Amino acid sequence: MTERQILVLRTGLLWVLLELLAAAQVQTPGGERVLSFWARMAISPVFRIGETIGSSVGGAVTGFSESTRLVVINRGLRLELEKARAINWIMTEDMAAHRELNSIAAMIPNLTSAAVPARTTYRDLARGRMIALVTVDRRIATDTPAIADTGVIGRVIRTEGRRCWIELITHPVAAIAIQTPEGRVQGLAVGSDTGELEIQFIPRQAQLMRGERLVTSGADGIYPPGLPVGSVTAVRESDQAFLEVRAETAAALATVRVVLLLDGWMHGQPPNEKQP
Amino acid sequence: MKMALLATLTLVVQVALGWPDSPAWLTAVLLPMVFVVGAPLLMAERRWPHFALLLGLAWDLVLEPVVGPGAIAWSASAVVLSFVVPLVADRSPRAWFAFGALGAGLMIVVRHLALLPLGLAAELTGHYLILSVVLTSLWCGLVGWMIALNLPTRWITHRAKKLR
Repeated sequence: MTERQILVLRTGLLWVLLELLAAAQVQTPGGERVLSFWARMAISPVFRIGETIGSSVGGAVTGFSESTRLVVINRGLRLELEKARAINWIMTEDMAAHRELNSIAAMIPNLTSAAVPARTTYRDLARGRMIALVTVDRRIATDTPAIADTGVIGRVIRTEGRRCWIELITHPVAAIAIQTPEGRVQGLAVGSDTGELEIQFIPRQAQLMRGERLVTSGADGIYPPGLPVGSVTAVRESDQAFLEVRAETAAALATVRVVLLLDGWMHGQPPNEKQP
Repeated sequence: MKMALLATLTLVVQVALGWPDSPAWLTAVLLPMVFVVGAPLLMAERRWPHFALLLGLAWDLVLEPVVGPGAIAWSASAVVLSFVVPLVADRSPRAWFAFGALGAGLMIVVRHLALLPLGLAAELTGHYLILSVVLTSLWCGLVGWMIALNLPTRWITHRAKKLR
């Protein structure tokens, strides 16, 4: 830096100081020192920027807290939605169960007051078992028939509290006396390992067609007569004295929700009033 | 010390020019300009702009409402003249006249600019500017002519001739 440049720099600095000195002596029309007015004007952008940054940060913080609150509300609403869905599902199930119950009631005109509705809680079609929960506090006797909205499903083999174990008609050891609706052909439906019914003791000369409906005959003393059991799926002659007949169950065992336990159907009264 | 006394005397005369009974145009003469013009023309020391600043401060104390703008204006003139004068070889009264005009114009304009942010600047009229520039240049030219005459040497020579 040359001597001349140093001179100019130094003199320029002095000029600035002198101008500030003059500004410190003069007042604005408002009574404020010009120097303080200049200082305020110089600092105001800094304050403005700081204010802007502060408001931005405040806005960001507010937005973050608001978004957090919204996330919490959203989670709460999701929980409410899931709860509502669960309630809706339960209501749908209940409504379907009521429909089934109505169907059962329509199927049996002379339904006694001893009939007890029960809700299925477990099923094992391979083992031919079902567990149903009775809706009333009442002990259900063994061998009580259990029917669904479309037909017979089995009989009660054990009770414990409100829970009833039902042996399905497809169980290999289950047997149920059946006949055609008009009573023309009578036989015995037993369970099988395939989940179908084997209709036994059908005479070779019997007029039995595929698709023909089969109902209970009441001959076994367990099931009341006239309840749908199934429909014929196959009829074949063999060397035996009887026809080989197979049938499928009328009740949809895999989807049944509600069953009706016909406790004391023979006497039209509850079992605690029934003679042993 | 001599310069300080001369500067003080010049300022006193400057104040006297503004005496109420004196003509109004006399105040347009910037008497201290001879120091600003004379320093570079007479090859004075290079730090003269700083002394011009002191001169300006004294000007402010005596003649201005606030201290500062006058110092800036006088030192600005001194800085510019210290740069411009070495570029010209002429040291005659004509140079004094010309640089006096330049210095006066600069001083008035810079002073106006320095007062402007303070809200104290009066309207700068062309009439006043020209008047001040002309009178100050004439004053500087007169001083330059007086220096060129070299009266003390002539007087000594004249006395020596008479004594012989």
